[in-house]
Amino acid sequence: MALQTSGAISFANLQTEFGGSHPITMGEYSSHRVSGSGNTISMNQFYGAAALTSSVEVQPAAKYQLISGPRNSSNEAILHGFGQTYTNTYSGNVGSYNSPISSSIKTDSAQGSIISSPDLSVWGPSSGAIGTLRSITHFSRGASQALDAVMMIVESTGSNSNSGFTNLVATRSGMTTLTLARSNAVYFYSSTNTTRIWLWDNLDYSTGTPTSSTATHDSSLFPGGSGSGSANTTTTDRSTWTVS
Amino acid sequence: MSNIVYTIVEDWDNPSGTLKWAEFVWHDGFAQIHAVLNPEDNTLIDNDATQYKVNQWVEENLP
Repeated sequence: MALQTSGAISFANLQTEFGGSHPITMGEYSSHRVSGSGNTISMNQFYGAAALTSSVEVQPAAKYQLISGPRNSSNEAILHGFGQTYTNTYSGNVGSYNSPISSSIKTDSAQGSIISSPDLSVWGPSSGAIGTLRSITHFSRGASQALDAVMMIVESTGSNSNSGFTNLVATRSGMTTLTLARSNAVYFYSSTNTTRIWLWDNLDYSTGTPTSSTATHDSSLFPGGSGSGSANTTTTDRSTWTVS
Repeated sequence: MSNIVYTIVEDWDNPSGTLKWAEFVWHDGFAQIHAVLNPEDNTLIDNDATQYKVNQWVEENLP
């Protein structure tokens, strides 16, 4: 929670917000100032300052459905990660990327979650918050996973610019670290809730065999489920996502 | 389909770099995809190729 915007701020307030140990020194908090610079530090320079959340540990939910394809065929669609309901809210913005995935899949109660409930309203790298993190999902569909994409949705950004971070990095035990550069994403801005969306397309993050309705429809990024609307509770399947 | 109107914008975080974005109206906001650079001079935009790319992208991604 951000520090107060008026009145006296104490050393204890700084330590509660930003962490640290005794003895407290002003210098260790200088980078958190929202105004001023240099070696002279005033407490009022911390008005409204908040510790940033740059990393989240995701307990994923797995969603899968069959969607109609050409010539009476069916294609598989998966939607794994957390905050799937926001991929429904912004389906129009990302167009055909996930619009064939039914809204019931995106909005059912089995949403993924974030471990330890960090403050997602200050999501961003050390240089500053880029908004409220709503969703990171992996969705894939079509024969041979013709579409395979990762999407990050950030609301309440106060800006429409394609900026604010360099990389989104995914790590998990047993997984090769995945680094997604902002400069490689398709970028969308929605005036609804001043929302910024980054989408990384045409990569292969799936491990499942996508050719029949009995195949596994798993995600290497958010593993542990091929079911429809199933929340995953396996701790070893958690992945960590860091914005830098 | 008629040509989609787009504008070329610099990368916000690296305005002096070669990366340029083609920005166009999309849904209730806008979208940005990579502009196509001139293969012989990457400080220039290949407008024909960028126009084609934008048109294709919009056609493929209409909901």
